[in-house]
Amino acid sequence: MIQAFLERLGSSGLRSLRNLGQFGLFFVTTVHCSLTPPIKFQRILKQIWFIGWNSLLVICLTGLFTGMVLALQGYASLKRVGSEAFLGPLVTLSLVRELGPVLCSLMVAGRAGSAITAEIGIMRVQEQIDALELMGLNPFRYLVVPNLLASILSLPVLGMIFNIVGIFGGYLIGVRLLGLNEGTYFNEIRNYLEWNDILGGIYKLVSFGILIAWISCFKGFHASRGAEGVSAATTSAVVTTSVAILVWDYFVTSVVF
Amino acid sequence: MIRVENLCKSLHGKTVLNDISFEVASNEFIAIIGMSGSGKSVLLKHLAGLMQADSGTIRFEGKKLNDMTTRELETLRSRMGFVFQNGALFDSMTVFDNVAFPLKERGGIGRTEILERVQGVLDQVGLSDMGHKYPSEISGGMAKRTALARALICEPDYLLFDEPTTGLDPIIRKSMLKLFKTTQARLKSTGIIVSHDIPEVFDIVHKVALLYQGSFLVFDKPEALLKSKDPIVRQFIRGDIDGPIRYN
Ligand SMILES: Nc1ncnc2c1ncn2[C@@H]1O[C@H](COP(=O)(O)OP(=O)(O)O)[C@@H](O)[C@H]1O
Ligand SMILES: [Mg+2]
Repeated sequence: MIQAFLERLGSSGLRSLRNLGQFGLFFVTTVHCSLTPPIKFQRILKQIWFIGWNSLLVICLTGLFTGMVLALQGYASLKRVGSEAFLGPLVTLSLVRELGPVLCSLMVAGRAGSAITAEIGIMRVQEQIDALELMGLNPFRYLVVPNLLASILSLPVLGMIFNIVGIFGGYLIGVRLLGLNEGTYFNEIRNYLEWNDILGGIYKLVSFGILIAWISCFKGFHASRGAEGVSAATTSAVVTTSVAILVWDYFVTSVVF
Repeated sequence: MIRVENLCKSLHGKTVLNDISFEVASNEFIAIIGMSGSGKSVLLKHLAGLMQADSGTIRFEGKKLNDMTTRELETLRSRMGFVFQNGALFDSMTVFDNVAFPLKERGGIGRTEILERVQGVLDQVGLSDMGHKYPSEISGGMAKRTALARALICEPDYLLFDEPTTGLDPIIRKSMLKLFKTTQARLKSTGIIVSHDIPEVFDIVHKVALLYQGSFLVFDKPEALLKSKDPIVRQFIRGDIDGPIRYN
């Protein structure tokens, strides 16, 4: 019995190890294909449209409300210690360093990442990916590379928009609703926001973009067993990406800032 | 020329291909028949390199499939016209774009020529005015013919067709089979067609193989199969319910 248990443990351990190896190899292949021609520019543009442009509305909405709630909560807290004047920097730094990149990436993972997994997964189970290969075409170049590059390019822009809209949301609440001085709000932001904050945020956004494309494409590529397999792959992609973003965020924060 | 030696494959602990060896000469057209689930699709996928054998070798013009570099494999595949049993059309593209896709990706061909060639192939498979439709908007038989058109557009040297005529009405089926024959003869391609259209398919091929329990029970001229005394062959060709083959 102990032997059977150990065997099961060993084989599941081996399986995880193999999956991890596949996952790593998938990334290496993708990077290799991204750096060597031919690059499918049209597909990249299409995916930028899909990942970036189509996410704009939801990013603006979540950014606005995040900024607004930050201002509400921040104002209440700062008021207790008598430093309401620092509401601007509080909202801005929270957004730029942390909430902007993370929330924005989580939204994109839910909106675009899941769709990428579903699309690639359906192509896999319907043998469309095999059909591509049989035309002598590399499915990585068609399906994975465009998503990776589009994601790397879109996320920083989306994140910046999220931040700007969020700061504006903070302004609406702090200045318009709670009566803070407009000049104070923006001047203090200018005084306390540093380039390194912005750069760190961009660094996070780029790496989250890579995570979203990598995990979503991988899960779709390895989908199996019809509609049920695709739906399982989609769920797993969103969950894995979200967890990976939060874990990676911790490490980046502890190293970069 | 395609040469298969001692090919074995198990899937989920079940032996699907059991030590198959055969050869298809260039300019030869063969049919593979066999019960559904006997491994015909699996065999074709091995030939295209989409599945890896457990053991055994596959050679194209003497070169082992497993030894080919990525480039060589891509080149070989671009000379193949493969029709999947389920069509495997790109469902985000119209019929026209599906057929034009391999040509466009190959590059170096002008717009007007692509237009002419695609329209020509669509005419041949009887889909002249279906070009603007999406795969979800056409019938199963039309999807099959679109897949055929896509496989034929690049004038392949190898034709690998997995049940290309299943689900077509008798008239279209006959004209499709005729189209395969003339295309194969014109291109001097090496062809393998999986089909249940007995006896029509016997008229267009040089040899027929019956896949049974993982290997070829017979691989011979069509006339020989029709005359065969083997009870399994006879039952399969005549479609008898009683005989040595039993489902369940
Ligand atoms: N991808 C796969 N994974 C596991 N088993 C498979 C797979 N494809 C086919 N099989 C099994 O292999 C056998 C042969 O299938 P197939 O080649 O599709 O039969 P057919 O002769 O009808 O084309 C079947 O028992 C099927 O269940
Ligand atoms: Mg089949």
